[in-house]
Amino acid sequence: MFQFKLVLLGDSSVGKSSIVHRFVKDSFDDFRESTIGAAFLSQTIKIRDTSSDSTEDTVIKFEIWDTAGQERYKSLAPMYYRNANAALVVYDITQQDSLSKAQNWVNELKNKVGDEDLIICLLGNKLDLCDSSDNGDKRAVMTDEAKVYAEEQDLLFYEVSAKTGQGVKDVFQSIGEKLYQIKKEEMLSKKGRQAASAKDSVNVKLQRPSTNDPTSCCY
Amino acid sequence: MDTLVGAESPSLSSSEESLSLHCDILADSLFDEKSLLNFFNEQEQRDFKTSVIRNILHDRNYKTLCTLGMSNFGFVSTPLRKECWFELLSRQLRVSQGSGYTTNKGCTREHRDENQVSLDVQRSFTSVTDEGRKEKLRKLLERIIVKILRRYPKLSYYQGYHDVVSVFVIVFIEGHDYDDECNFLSLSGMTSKSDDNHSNGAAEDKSNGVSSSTTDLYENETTSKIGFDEDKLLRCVEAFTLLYLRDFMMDSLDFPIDQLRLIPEFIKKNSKAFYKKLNLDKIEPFFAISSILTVFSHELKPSENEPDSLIFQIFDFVISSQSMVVPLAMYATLIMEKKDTIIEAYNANIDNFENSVDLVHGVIQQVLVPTRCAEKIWKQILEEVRSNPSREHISKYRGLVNRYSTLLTTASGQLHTSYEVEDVIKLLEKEIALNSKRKTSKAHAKLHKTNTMRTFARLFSSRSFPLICKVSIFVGMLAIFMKLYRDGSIKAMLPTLRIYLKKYQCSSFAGLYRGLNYVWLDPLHELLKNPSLPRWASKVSRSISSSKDSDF
Repeated sequence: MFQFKLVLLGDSSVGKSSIVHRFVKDSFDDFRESTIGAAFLSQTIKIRDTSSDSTEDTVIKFEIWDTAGQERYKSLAPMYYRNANAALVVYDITQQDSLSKAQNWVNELKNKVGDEDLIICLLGNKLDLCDSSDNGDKRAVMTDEAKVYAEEQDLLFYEVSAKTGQGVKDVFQSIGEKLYQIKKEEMLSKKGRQAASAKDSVNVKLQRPSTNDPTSCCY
Repeated sequence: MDTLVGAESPSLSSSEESLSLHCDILADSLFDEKSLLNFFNEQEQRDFKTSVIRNILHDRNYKTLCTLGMSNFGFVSTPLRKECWFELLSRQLRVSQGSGYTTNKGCTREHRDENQVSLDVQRSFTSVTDEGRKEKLRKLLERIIVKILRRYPKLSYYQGYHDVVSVFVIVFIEGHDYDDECNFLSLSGMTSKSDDNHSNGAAEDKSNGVSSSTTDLYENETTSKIGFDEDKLLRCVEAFTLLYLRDFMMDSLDFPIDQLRLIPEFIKKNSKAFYKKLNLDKIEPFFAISSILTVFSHELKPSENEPDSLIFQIFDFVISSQSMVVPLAMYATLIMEKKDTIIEAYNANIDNFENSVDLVHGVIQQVLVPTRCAEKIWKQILEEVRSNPSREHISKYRGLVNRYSTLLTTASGQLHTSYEVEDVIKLLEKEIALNSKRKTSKAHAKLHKTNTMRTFARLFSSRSFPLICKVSIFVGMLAIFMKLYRDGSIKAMLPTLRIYLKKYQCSSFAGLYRGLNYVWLDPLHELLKNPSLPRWASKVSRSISSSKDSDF
């Protein structure tokens, strides 16, 4: 089983915890209590490996760190995004302001993590409030605006609704597949290099190398 | 409430007369774990304690009230709790009549964090099922927080503060069908009546002249039912905020993080092996942050339906002992209590997490989440803390927190101390100044990571660095200078130094100079390489003086 570390970042009240709960417990509360510090949850998904001959699914486990959104908790964030394989940067599509906060997070991740393999996913939440058939469209951030930015920065991009569940599973699925792909390539190249070594007992390091030193990150 | 007033159990009521005389003597031992009272069943004990507390409240015996709050059952029931909290907190933070605080009512300028407050309040009281009630609770919560923030604009709001305040809201709203308009009407209506009853005792505690209403339980049983006293609630929240939560209300997390560092120290004292196992010497204990910032009210949500919830007794204990060390000690006890489970989970997950920070945080979170609903474990921890009150003085950990911290001043566990609001505001201002100073020095440290002088300074000032090493470094340096002196090379080096100095002066005017540190390192380096000193020194000085011509 593969295990990946995933972190959620974004402004207060954009729906980070709701997205996680939709994914992990498939439930939704209109008013989910504020997260303080950070919350830890885990969930597994199955990935079908299309390229290989085996029909069996691969199970991967997400180790999810859901962080608090208030500015003052920002100083704790490095601890959670350090060694992360993927970061979900969430904004609220009904709040223009939250997109710029998300962009700050993307910048911070790019500056501080400095890892090519970190997958950053830009996630617009509260799609249910923007039903175009309804008159009460509260959309404040146009899809194109975020999409263009995401392409510029080479991010994954989705719009989802934690309330209806629309798109949430897909996000985690595609992140999982992408991480699995990266992992597989890594393993293959490793295997190529040390072809002579033992096969199935290879203990693959699933996470990127870490410095175990808590002082190494900038708070 | 009526049932509680006359509910002394038959077997105990006869002793009530003498009881009020000896309450303070009794209170010390009466309600601890090994008390004789355990002979009676729990309800009887509760009833007995209720009547004792009523007497104490009546006599305004502050010291005994503290003792009672720290013993079994805390302040027993919500109606009593409300009175006791007010009695204690209004005593701990004195607001004198003529202070600017009372006249400062017109302070309506919006606080910078109000937006965040409303975001969090919208998501509070999630367990309340009645929508109307929930709405009212939320409105009240928001109003209280905003009032406090506007009154003390220097405080910064943090997510979690709303959890703490919601505990007070739940306690004070007990028994009231809270209604905005009705509240003020009934308050003003009953003022005159209650003033006659007991103006002398209550007057000193009052922040404004209107509200000396419900201090005494006996007379005002009925009035307190009609009117909800928002002023009292506000006074309690104000005192708790300023005296207990001040460290958390800076604009950064530095001071709360300082406080958290006490937790590993407590664990270390308990079991060094466990401390080592969890790598607590290397890991910051951020996993405790929500518990400490909210005094456990984030984990144990207060609810009107559960007046016996242990969260209230935790607050009883904290307020009675006037100590914010209590939550830290409780957290350490919780970890120790769950030691085996944590070790088990740690070993099971050791391969799943690549680094120990994630491992420990993940494991502790996973182990502690189920305890949220488990009354039993909290009861156990409270008992533990009650029987072993951390008598050891916080001064031992003085170096870990800032010197104006609540842990060292207003909530240090020093019983029966009271503060003037003006003094506390001064403390607050000093703390804020210290916090911003620290922030700038941190930013500075980030810019200049390799500052030799500071490393040296830290090396010599830090307590962990053994004296013997300091001495040996000193002796070593002394020896080098002695050798130089005896060889007469100090004299030879002087011209070199002069040249360097001149060079430094010139270039520092132009803002070009960068390498002061190396002036000292280079000659020493050469010195160690080259044993024949005088020759070397003269060579260098010659070469330098020749380069001097080309330089200038």
